[in-house]
Amino acid sequence: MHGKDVTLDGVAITYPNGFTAVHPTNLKVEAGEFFSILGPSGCGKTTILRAVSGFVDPSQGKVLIGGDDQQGIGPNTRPTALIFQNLALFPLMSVWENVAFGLEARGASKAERRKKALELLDLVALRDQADKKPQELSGGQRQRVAIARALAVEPSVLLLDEPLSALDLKLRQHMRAELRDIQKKTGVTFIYITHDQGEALTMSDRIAVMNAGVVEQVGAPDEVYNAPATAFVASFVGEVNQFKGRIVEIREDGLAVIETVAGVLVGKNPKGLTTGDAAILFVRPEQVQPGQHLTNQFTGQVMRRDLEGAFINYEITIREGAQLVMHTTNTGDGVGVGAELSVGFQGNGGIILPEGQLARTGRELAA
Amino acid sequence: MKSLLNGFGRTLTIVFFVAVLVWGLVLIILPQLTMLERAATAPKRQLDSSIALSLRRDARTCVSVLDAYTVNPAENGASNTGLSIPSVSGMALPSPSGMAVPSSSTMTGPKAKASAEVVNRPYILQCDRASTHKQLVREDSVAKLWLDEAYDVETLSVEAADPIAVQKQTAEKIALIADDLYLQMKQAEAAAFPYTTGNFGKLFAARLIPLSPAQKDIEDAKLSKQLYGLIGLRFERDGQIYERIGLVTLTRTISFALMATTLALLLCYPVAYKVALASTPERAVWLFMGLVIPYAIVELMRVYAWTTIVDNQGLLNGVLTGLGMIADPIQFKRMPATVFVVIVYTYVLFMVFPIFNVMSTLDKNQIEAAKDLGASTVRTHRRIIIPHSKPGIAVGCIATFMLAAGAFSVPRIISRGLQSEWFSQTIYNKFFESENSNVGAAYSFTYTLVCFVIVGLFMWLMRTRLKDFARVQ
Amino acid sequence: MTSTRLLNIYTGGFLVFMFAPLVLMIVSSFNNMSPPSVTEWHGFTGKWYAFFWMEEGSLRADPILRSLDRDRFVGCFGNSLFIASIVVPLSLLLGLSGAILLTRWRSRANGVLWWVLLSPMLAPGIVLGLSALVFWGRLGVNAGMFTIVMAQTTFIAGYPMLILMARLQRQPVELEEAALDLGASPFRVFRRLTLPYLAPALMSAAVIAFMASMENYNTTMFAKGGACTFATEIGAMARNPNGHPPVINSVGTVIILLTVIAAAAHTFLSRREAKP
Ligand SMILES: Nc1ncnc2c1ncn2[C@@H]1O[C@H](COP(=O)(O)OP(=O)(O)OP(=O)(O)O)[C@@H](O)[C@H]1O
Ligand SMILES: [Mg+2]
Repeated sequence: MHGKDVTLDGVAITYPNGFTAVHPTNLKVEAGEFFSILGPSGCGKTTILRAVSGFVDPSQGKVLIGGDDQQGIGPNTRPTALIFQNLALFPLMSVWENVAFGLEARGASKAERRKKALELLDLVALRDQADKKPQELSGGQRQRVAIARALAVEPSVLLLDEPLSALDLKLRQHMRAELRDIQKKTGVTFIYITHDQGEALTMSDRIAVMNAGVVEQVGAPDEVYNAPATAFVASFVGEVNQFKGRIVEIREDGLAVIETVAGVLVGKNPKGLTTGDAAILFVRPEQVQPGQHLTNQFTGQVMRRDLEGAFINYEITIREGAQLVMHTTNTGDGVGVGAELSVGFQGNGGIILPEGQLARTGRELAA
Repeated sequence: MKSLLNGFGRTLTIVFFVAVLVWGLVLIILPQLTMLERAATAPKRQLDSSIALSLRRDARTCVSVLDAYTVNPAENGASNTGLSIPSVSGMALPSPSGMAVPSSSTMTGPKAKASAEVVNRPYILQCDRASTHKQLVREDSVAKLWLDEAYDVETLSVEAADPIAVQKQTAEKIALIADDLYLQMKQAEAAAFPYTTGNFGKLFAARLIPLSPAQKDIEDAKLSKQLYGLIGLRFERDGQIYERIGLVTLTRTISFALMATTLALLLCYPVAYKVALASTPERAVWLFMGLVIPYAIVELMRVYAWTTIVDNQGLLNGVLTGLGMIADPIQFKRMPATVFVVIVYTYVLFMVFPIFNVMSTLDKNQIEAAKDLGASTVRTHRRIIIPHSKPGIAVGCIATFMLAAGAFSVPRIISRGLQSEWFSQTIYNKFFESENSNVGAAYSFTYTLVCFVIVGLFMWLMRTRLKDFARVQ
Repeated sequence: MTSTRLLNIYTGGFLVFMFAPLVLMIVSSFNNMSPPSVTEWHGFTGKWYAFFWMEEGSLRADPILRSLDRDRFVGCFGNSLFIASIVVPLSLLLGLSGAILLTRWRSRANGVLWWVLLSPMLAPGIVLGLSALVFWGRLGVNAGMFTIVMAQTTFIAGYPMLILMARLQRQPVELEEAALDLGASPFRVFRRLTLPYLAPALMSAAVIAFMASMENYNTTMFAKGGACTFATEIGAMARNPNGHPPVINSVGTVIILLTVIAAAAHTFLSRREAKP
């Protein structure tokens, strides 16, 4: 098995009801890469996957796999295999028959099929479950059957649609490692869909962040986390403090000054904003630190303190209507709720980006 | 379309489409259109050309009979009865009312005999009928229309008093005229618009009900008759009672069906509730079986099972006689109520199962939650159970209504023609007993339409959609 | 509590109402009297059953059985089986096609198709028989077995359609897509996934279609022409001026017996299935 690269060349997808789920998109996934597509629910992730596997046709642009235009090629002849959001195991067939189904369609003999199926079940450590029905397996085992079934057809590209979302946390973490392993072993290109940013950051070689049918940024996990390209990416990936305001001064050293409700703040200006632009300053809670004489310095009152073992999260009110979240390592000498605290962050610890749509916070989602 | 092709491939998709097309067109739509066409076509034997044709045939037969008679009068005189019996042509006689066809030919006989005092030959039906003064069939039976007047031809008829030779001449002349007219009319009819609403009009036609004054008083007192009067199905003119028979039967059938449906709903709701929601699973299985068994038994058998009860020597009469309450058996078979009860019995279970199926999908916790919040039994039913079961109730009502309205076996077997017809029987008789299929088709088409309208109205009222039919399975 | 008792009593009463006529039918099928009666007992007899295998001689000797045409009756029953053997597969095919188009064909025509395909179930049965008679008559086909088959299929195909549709709606589309994605041809997907998935529903649809075809009277009566079926023959016996012969009751008793056995077997089997 060896992976192939996948290219979306100006692909836009409009459903028959007129709803455009994906706006024109250019994207290249390299051969043998573990590529994640990350985005909130309904942003068009599944739609892109279905376009790659051939279940929907792009209304514009084309999909290329290994350099070949896939126009007019049906899902049953593309070199892709899709693992469905709900797995879609065949309930009336045994585990090994499920795995061997793709081979059956290719006309392999029964003995051949069984042999190959058992090999693959070995790979996912399920050989002893071969004759059970899928319903008789646990969630994680089913997951692995779905992977084995997809690998059986020796795809060049494996498409995974939130395969772990139905599993509990422990199992999910375990399966992440297994998936990574399998990908390494087989060298198949993985396109992995998730709305769980932790998953995307830990597993992927590269990540594409999507919002409302638009790919906002493509890059390595570090890049996406540390140097978000848009306000949406900054707010969607990882936890972040955000202060809305207007640029008041541009500095020589690549920094800019922004006036916000929390006061006048300094941050990086990667997008080259100019004075008067509406902008948002983002700062990660781990960039915030207790102490004096920082570039952006505040004193405030601790409103909440959550102990997370090795870390402590503080929520600090620094001004009327302005909160700051801080993550510190637990050194055993933290302060309690109600205490006065001097905190701040360095000028290159924050990043100023043009105002734009933000990801919805948990509180908004709950409402 | 594309998803079908992708999902099932070309061959299967074509098979599915062809199958559905055949079903929809060949089995459903085209037959109904043919029915409509049949319903909108005037019965053949009522066309003017058919009347001219039969006149020509009669005149020719008359000539040949007279021929034979002049050759050998005695012999033919003896066997004249054989000749005068109407065969095919008897059916071709126009009958304004569209009913009781054969009777008009028997009526002409005595009348002709009475008018002829001097007779040169025995009675010959065909000669008697060979007259250009022949009635044409028109929708409005008020003003009578005659062939000779309408087409402005000589009024000729074969008078039995004339010398045979003259009679022959007249008959030949009539045959010529008729032949001429026939060709002429045939052309006109071919060019004319072939469809008419006349057959549908038959449904509204009023018919005189011969009643003695005493009978009339009894009839007038009946509630149903008064209701018919109220909606114009029954009226009095010149001291005579007229009824729009077709409509009366239709109205009667539909209202019986509606009543049967209502009764079935009242009977079934508690049973469905009991089996679906108010029993332990163990008992529900048994109760369910108790409902399935009578449901699965052949419909006709359910009907026959009742004959043992309502027969003159049946159980009911036996018990009543045994108790000394009656001396003579009550003729249950003559009572509309009997047909009604048996219809309810036969089709009631078509109400239970849809309601049961939907009701059993209700989460019992909802009922308990409602009770827990202080709702009374009635309120729980009204706010929780009935709204949830609505699709089932709607489908059950529609199924029961359609079966009751279209019932044919029950009235046929139970009443054995001893009481007023069900509309389905009227249609049967029009088709197979009086051979008046055009009118029958019009009736049947109207029947379907009325049922559809009622069902459509009901679905609109209940806010149900056809999709619910699949849901209650 | 009282309302619960009331409901129990009512349900009991309802069941008695449903079963009493059937019980009377069974009882009178053993009474040596025609027309069947339960009030006058003329002695126990099995001859209404034996009618079907009795020797020609003893048949002639019986004053009531003599007037019945056994061969015709058996012939008509054969006709019914023959008709059902065509109607059932045909209905399954039409019903399956209809169900698939209605559930999987996203199109404007869908709503119209619903109405067209369900309309036979919303029309009086006799109308279907008549329209088949008139339509095929116009095409030059005389009324007979063929028109019966056509008329019955028109509405019987609706039952498999509804049953299969309910099942199809429960089958996730992803299963078919997954199979396609693994390289299976659409036909293989249909054979390996869809059909096995539908198999139980197809079985029960076949049973229901068979029963509907066998027992159908209203539609068949109008389309039959000179032909006869089991149901029309039984119906015709009602026309007997002396009341119907108890042979009908014996047939009914056998049917009741078969139904009870089938229902019991079904309940028993499905309960065993439910228990793991
Ligand atoms: N068949 C369809 N017809 C019309 N609109 C659709 C169809 N399928 C999806 N959509 C819409 O397209 C948008 C993108 O859907 P998609 O399934 O790609 O979302 P997603 O990113 O996979 O979301 P999730 O994480 O919830 O699975 C959604 O707003 C959805 O409502
Ligand atoms: Mg999705």
